[in-house]
Amino acid sequence: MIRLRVPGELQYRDLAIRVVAAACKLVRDDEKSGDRDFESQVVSAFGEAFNNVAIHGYEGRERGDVDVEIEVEGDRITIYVTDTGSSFDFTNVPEPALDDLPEGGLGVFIIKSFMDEVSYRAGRPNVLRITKRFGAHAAPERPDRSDEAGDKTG
Amino acid sequence: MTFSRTDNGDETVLRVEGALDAVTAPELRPTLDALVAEGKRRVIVDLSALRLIDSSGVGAIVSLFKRVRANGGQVSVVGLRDQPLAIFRLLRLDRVLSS
Repeated sequence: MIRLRVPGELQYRDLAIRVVAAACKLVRDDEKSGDRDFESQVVSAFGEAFNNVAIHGYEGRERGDVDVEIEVEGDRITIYVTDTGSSFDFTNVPEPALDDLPEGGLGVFIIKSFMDEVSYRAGRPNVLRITKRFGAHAAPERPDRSDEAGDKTG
Repeated sequence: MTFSRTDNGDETVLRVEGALDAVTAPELRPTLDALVAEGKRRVIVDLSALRLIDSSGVGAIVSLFKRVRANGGQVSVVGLRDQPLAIFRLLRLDRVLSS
């Protein structure tokens, strides 16, 4: 387990992302999938998760920390993002209309699209768990939207 | 994040390096606003040295694209690779913005 605790502020985002990127390099490509987007997709999803906490979770309240726990098991990486800010309802985030070229509201879409499993437990603390397996699927252009707040099975 | 702007008549090349994200996108906004205000007809956004982009950074570029287009101009993104390319592909922006 890799653990990192940083203040829930945007200026610590890059530091946390670099740790996640380094952890991605520990994940094995057991199926020799040659998935070159694995790190890009995990980093993208984690970055949006960190943004949600720093921008929305701690908005208007005393800033707490963001705890990041990373598990690397074989060809799989799981990241837990824990905070004590406002809870975030993943189930009620509308899917963006990409053809309209939206300028916002893309964060949760990116998280759900790039990760194989996404789950969120609201409370104190809030815990977001995101998992991705190497070569599980190619970069999606039209991701399956049936998972909502629960886990994907693909 | 660092950026540079090179003007050649109606064409402007905006080169962005490093990370364009929720921290740095606000730093770029005044330059984007200026390009729109000046009525630039062709803007080329060179992202070949961009290491990382997030939804905030994407929002800034899409905003530029929409406003320049509304003025009758054109925005093209060139040099996409690695993580920024993955994001642009997911959001289908590579088809709209890449020349």
